[in-house]
Amino acid sequence: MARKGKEDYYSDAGGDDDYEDYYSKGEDDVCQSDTDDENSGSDDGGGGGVSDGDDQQAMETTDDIEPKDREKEYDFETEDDVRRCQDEVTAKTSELLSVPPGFAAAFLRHCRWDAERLENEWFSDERRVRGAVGLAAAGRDGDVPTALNDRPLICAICFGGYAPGEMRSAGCAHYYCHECWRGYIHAAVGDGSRCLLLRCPDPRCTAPLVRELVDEAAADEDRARYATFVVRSYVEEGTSKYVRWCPGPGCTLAVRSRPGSRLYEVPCACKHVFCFRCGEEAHRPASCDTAGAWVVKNRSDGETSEWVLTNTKHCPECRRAIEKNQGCNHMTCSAPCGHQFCWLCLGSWKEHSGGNYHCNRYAADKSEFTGEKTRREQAKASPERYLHFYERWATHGQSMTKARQDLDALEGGGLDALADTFGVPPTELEFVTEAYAQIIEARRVLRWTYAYVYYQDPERHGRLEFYVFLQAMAEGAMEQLHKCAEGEKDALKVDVGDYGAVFPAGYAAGKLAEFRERLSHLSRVTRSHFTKLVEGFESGMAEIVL
Amino acid sequence: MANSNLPRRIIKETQRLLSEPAPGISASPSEENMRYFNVMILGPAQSPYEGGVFKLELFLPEEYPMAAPKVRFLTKIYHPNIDKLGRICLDILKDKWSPALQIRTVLLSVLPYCLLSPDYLIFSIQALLSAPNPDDPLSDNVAKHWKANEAEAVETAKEWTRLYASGA
Repeated sequence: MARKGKEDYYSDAGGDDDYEDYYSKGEDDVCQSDTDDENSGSDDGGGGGVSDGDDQQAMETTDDIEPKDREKEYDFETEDDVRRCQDEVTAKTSELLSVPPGFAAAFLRHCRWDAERLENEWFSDERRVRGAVGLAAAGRDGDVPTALNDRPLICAICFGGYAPGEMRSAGCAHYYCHECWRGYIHAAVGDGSRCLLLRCPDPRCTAPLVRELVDEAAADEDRARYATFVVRSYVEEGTSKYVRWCPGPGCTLAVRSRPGSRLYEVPCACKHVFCFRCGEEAHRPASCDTAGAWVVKNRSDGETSEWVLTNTKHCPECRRAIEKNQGCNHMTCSAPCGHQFCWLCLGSWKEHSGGNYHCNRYAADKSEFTGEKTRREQAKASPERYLHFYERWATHGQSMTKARQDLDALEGGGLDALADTFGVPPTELEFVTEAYAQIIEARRVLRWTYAYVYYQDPERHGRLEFYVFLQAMAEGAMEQLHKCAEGEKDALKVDVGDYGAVFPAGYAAGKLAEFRERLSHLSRVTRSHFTKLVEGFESGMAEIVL
Repeated sequence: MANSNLPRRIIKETQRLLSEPAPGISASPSEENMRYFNVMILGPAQSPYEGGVFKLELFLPEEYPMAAPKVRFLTKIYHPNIDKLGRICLDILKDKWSPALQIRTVLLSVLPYCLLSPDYLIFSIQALLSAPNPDDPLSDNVAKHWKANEAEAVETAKEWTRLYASGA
């Protein structure tokens, strides 16, 4: 796909400025997974849209970026890679600030795991950073993550009396028995990532609960779950613009974008191809907003999409969809975001406290996240029109799934069997799997063009004609390719099976060469059409703005 | 039976609630289930709920004190932070709960907060009654009313107190 168009189109995605800054720290040297990972990533992911070197040559004419450069746009990381990287940053920070690692992690988390930012803030105003995580100034013994009682006390949770050493605190003056700590941490861990924000149980005390205390006090299972939340926080809260977990079902890999890359689509090693920005299935040439709106719309029996539109809104801070499950309009987004806002106007709750509750702001501010405008547009659009686009979007999706299954079957032994028939090594038949990879990608792109066109103004005939023309050309080429790959392959197999023995050697080879020629040609044609399609759709055309 | 292995904490809290009741509040456990409390609260003076006696139920879930007690008004009340079912919009009954809080703290702080007047800090239930806080509404309509015309809303609250909470 044309890299140039991609850059122009997405360069307004925002936040690119600090890209270089972020990477100039050289952290990624530590974090990059080894090259094996990377290679297997793109090889396996072939089905999902990354073409390898040879393929790329064919489209060099339209692509001004070397294929090698494209592959370097991201690295895969396992959970262990992420953890190692996080531990390293934490250890360095702990040493630099002379605080125990648990506190270092709390500070880092406060600064979104940006060690440089923490360093600056800490050395310009240590008290403020401490205050933000609830940690008081260091005592005589420095910062203490947890301490045991030195005299008999009563536990304020279970009201039992305990001898010295039978209770502990979060470094503050409030001691609780071991059993109650276990229960306290268990309840918090069961509640999700909120456990990372846990404080001393005393309502007036802000002392933070850190890793050291959890490791000492929690049950094994809770300790492990806490550790998982810590690692997730590093990716999800920290540098989320640059690292993301693959949203593929059951996949535990993280993807880190490389310096300077404007990463948009990632074919993960698990074969799931996703959008790095919004986490949705890869949806070029439609934008994230279009894809998001379309997905919401489709989550229908009509009613469902209507339900989502009426009952959920996006947190103005982190954009997660939120369902209002109680009457109260004071919304608190769940951890780790915690943003407080008004359900009616989506303004910050801070502006609502005291006497200045004015949700007549509603009228002015609602447009951005509520989808109010979309809702009206959708009402205008006729159900027939929607159905037209939805059917095509869904059908290409089904065909894509089928092609993916066929590709899996080919890679899982089908190719070897085919190679047997022709009497050639399986490597000779890689053009078949490549064609399938092309088909899958093309189907995916095509299906999203339907979502794209749906949101275009039907009144603007000229532009619409142009889209539909590109779409038709690309679709035609792709259907031919799919038919050839599916039909002719099977026919050929029968043909060679029947006549291969009758005719002298060379018959099978000749037929195979013909088939290769045809399929490769169709692959090339299809690729060229889709390059044009994506370029055409993406070049300077504003899509719907929610 | 649920009462046989009641945690020491619940027993002690109950004993203390019975032996040193907080002013204006009575809480007594049900005979069948020691985790279920019948609560009565006097409407705080200088609030629209003055002169009213409000019944509530309080239930200590299995996870208590790691999870918050469940509290609900049984007496009908006109209040922006209390909905038709008597549920209360209060942070310490939700995400701000801490096991170091107690039934007593909840009743002493939730209610007064609820029942005093707007912009009162969230501390406990009696406070809730003293300070209706329309900025954190659970009941949209009541909150809107409170915003639009406080004097009228207060009158409605007094009216409801007379009608439903006059200690019949």
